[in-house]
Amino acid sequence: MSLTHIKGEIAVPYEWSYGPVLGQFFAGMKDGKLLGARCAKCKRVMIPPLPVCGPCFLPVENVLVEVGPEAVVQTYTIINITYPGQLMSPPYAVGILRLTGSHTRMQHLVGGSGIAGLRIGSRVRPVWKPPEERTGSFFDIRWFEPVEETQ
Amino acid sequence: MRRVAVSGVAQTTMMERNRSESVQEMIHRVSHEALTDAGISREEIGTVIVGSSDFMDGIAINNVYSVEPAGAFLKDESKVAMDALFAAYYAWMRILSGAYDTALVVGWGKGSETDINTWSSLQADPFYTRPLGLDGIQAAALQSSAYMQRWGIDERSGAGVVVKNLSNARRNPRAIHRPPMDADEVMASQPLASPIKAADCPPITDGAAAIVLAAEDRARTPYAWIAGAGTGTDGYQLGSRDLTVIRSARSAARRAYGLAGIKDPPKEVHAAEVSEYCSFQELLLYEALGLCPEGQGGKFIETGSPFLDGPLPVNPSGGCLGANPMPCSGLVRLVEAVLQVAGKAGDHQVKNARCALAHGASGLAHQAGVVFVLRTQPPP
Repeated sequence: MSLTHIKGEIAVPYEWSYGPVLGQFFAGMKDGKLLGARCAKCKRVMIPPLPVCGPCFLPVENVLVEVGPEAVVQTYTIINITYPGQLMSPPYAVGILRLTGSHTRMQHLVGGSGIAGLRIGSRVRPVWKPPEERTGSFFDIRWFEPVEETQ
Repeated sequence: MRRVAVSGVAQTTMMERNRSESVQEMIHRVSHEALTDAGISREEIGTVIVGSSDFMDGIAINNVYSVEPAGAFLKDESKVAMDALFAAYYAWMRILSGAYDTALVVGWGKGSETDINTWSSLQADPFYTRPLGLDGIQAAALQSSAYMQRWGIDERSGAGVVVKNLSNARRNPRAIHRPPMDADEVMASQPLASPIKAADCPPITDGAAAIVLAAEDRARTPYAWIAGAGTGTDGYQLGSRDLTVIRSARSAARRAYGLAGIKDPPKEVHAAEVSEYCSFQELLLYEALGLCPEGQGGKFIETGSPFLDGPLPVNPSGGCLGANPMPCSGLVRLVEAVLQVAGKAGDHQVKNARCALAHGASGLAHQAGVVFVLRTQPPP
C-alpha cells in the first residue's frame, strides 16, 4: 500500500527597502503627486521610477520630476478572473498609460466603473483617495478615469 | 567554433496531472532515457545543467534536490533558473569553451502541484504591479491587445493558432490530447483577460525533458547539429517595452541566424517549434523570428502557411497549446526540432525538414528569449 501526496503552503515574510528613488516616489504618492525618475544623460523620464536607466547604465537624477496628471491609454485588458486580494471585482480594466511628460508607461486600473467607453488613445486622469486615506502606496490612486472631452 | 550535436533526447508523455511519480522520479526517468538514447553513461558525461524553477517545486535552490535524479552526484553541475532551453544554451557554451566535451541537460515542471498564476505573479514587482494582479496571463493580454491594435489583427487569428496546435497535438503521442476545437468554439470560450480566453491558454502540464549534447568526436548518435543559437532579454517593466514586438525573440534569432548563416528564414527554415504561452504570442513570434514580415502574423496564419501541410510548419508538435510543462517547454521544443531534422517525428513529421528552429522564453510577456537552429548536417 502506498500513499500519494502531502499538501503544503509556503508563506515567506518580506520587508522590501525602497531606497532613495522609490522612497521619494511613494512620498509623492502620499502628497497626491506623480513623480518620475529622469536619466541625466538621455533625459528619459521613467514612471514608475527605476533607480537606474537601463540603456545608459547610470543612476537616475537624485531629485524626481513631476509628471502627468493626465495620461493616454496605450493598451488595456478587461479582467474577468477572480483571485484573492483583488483591488476590484471583475469585470474591470488594467491599462498601460503614458503620463504627460513621461517616456515609459505605467500600469494601473483604468476606467473605474465605466470601462465600456474605454478605447486605446483615451485620455484619462487619476482619481486620488482623499489625503487622510493615502498611505504612500501606488494605490493611493484608486484608478484613472476618462477625461470628458470639452467641445 | 566546435561542432556540437544533440546525440540523445527524451521527453515524458505529457500529462495534466501526474500523481503517480514524484518530481525526483520524473527527473530520473527522463535523464536516464536521454543517456541511454545517446549511448553514454552518467560517468562519461562531462557536466549536468538543469533548468527549473524554485517556485514551481517549492524548494529554494531546487537543483540541490535534483542532484541524484539528474545524474549529477559528485559531478560538475549547475542550473539556470529559467526555461530549460536556456540551460541547453549554457551547456552548449560549456562545450564550446573546450572545458567539457559532453553535457546532459534536464528540465522539468509539475504545474499541477502548485498554482501557476501565483507562481507567475511572483515575477511582478511588489510595489507597482503585483497588487494589480500582474501575472503571465495579464501580461500576455496587454501584449496581445497592443499587438492586435497596432496591426489591425483580428482576434480570430489567435483562434486559428489554437485550432492548428490542438490538431497537431493529436498527432503527437507525447502531447496532451484534448478534443479538437474550431474557431467558433475558441471565440466562445471563457474570457480571462481580454483578448485571452480559456481556449487561448495552454493546459497546465506535468512533464520533463532531457537532451545530451556532445562535441563532434564524442557524438555516437548525432541526431542533429547545432548550427547556431542566441539569447536576448528585454527590459523589465511592461511599460518600458514595445509590447507589439517580441524583441527578445528577435534579437535571439538574429544571433542564431547569424551563426547559422541564415539570410532568408522563410526559405531556409523548414520547421519551427516556438513557445506560445498564449495563442496570440505565436502570431507575434512568426514576425519576431523573421518567418513573416512585420505586422503580417494574422495574414500568415490565415493563408495556412504555418499549418502542418503548409510551406513553413510552426509547432508541428502542437507547441505549448499541446502541452506546457513549464518551465521546460522550450527544451521540449528543442527535442521536437531535433526529431524533425532527424526524420523521427512520426505522424507529425514535416517532410524533408533539414533545418529547424527551436525557441524558448521566460519572464512576463516573453521578456527573455532563446533560439537554436538545428540542421541534419554538421556545420562546414
